[in-house]
Amino acid sequence: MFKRISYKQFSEFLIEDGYTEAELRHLFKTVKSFDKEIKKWFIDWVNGEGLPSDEIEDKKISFFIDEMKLKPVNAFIVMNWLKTDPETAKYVLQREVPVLEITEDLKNTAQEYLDKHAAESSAQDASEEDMSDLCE
Amino acid sequence: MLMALEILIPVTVFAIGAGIKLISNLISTWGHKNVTPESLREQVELSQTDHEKIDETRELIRDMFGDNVAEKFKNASNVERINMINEFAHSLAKLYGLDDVDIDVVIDNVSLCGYYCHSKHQARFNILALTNGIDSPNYAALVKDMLDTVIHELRHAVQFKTVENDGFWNVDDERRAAWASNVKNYISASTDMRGYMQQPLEADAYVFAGLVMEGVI
Repeated sequence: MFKRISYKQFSEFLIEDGYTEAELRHLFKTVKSFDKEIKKWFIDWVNGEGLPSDEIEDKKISFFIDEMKLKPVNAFIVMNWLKTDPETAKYVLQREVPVLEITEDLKNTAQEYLDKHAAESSAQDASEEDMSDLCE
Repeated sequence: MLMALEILIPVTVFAIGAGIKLISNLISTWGHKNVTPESLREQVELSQTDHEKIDETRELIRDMFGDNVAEKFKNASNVERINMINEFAHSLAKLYGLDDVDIDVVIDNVSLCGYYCHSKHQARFNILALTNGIDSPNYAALVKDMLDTVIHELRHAVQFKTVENDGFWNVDDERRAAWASNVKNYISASTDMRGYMQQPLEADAYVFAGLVMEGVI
């Protein structure tokens, strides 16, 4: 049983969920910042111990996976959110999610703006990211 | 006027048909959370122009729908509902200076509740929830959510227009840069619900629309 999960293990574990490299890096950082209890649940799940059956704000993680059709990592994010900022989580979760399509044209327009204004991008340089192991 | 339907990219967090039941379930469990949370408001700095537009949007809603918005939708036919949302969205686009946005209003089991694509200048709204949820005890919440969605998506149109046009809505350079940067590293709700909501483009749209609706329903 692993008490530490490397980024490599993390990304291999989630390979079937179809995430891009950028999404995996984002999710890894996000999971690392989880509340201690939720982080332990996540590590236990990666180690094959199944999903937790505890409730947070009267909901189990299985509700978000089975009913709301969230991918498991997203469901863990929601449980962490309900624990750490319940009012905002509930406010957003009670709404259908409208969609914003991000096209290549839009990205080019945005980049043109940033180049023109020599603005600092908020996109973090990958080399600066902390990709140390996820641990309990 | 109903437009031809297209199958959209499946980026919904949950199926549209299950949406009404799930929302009702969550409202029943937690109570209806209809006030923009402080932690979300604190993330977003709105300008004087933003506040003026919020007030004008509230006024538009009152003028169009009267004091009991939910009742007006409940008692309408589906064609009337489509026309009301269509007229609301077009009026809002005019109010916001968005004269090049094409707006579709549909009822189907495929489309998302709200969709905006800036490259195509296209906004689409699916009012299935307003037709299927009539008997729901949370119908007012569904109506509120629909109007919120229209405002939310058109706010995105405003965001991108400010990036393209200096001075539009008097948005300062810092916010414009934050929105432009966010396009490059946008987080989808299907990947990370919390990250999605906290990012500059979405936090701004949620707060703006939420503040409009607090003053109305």
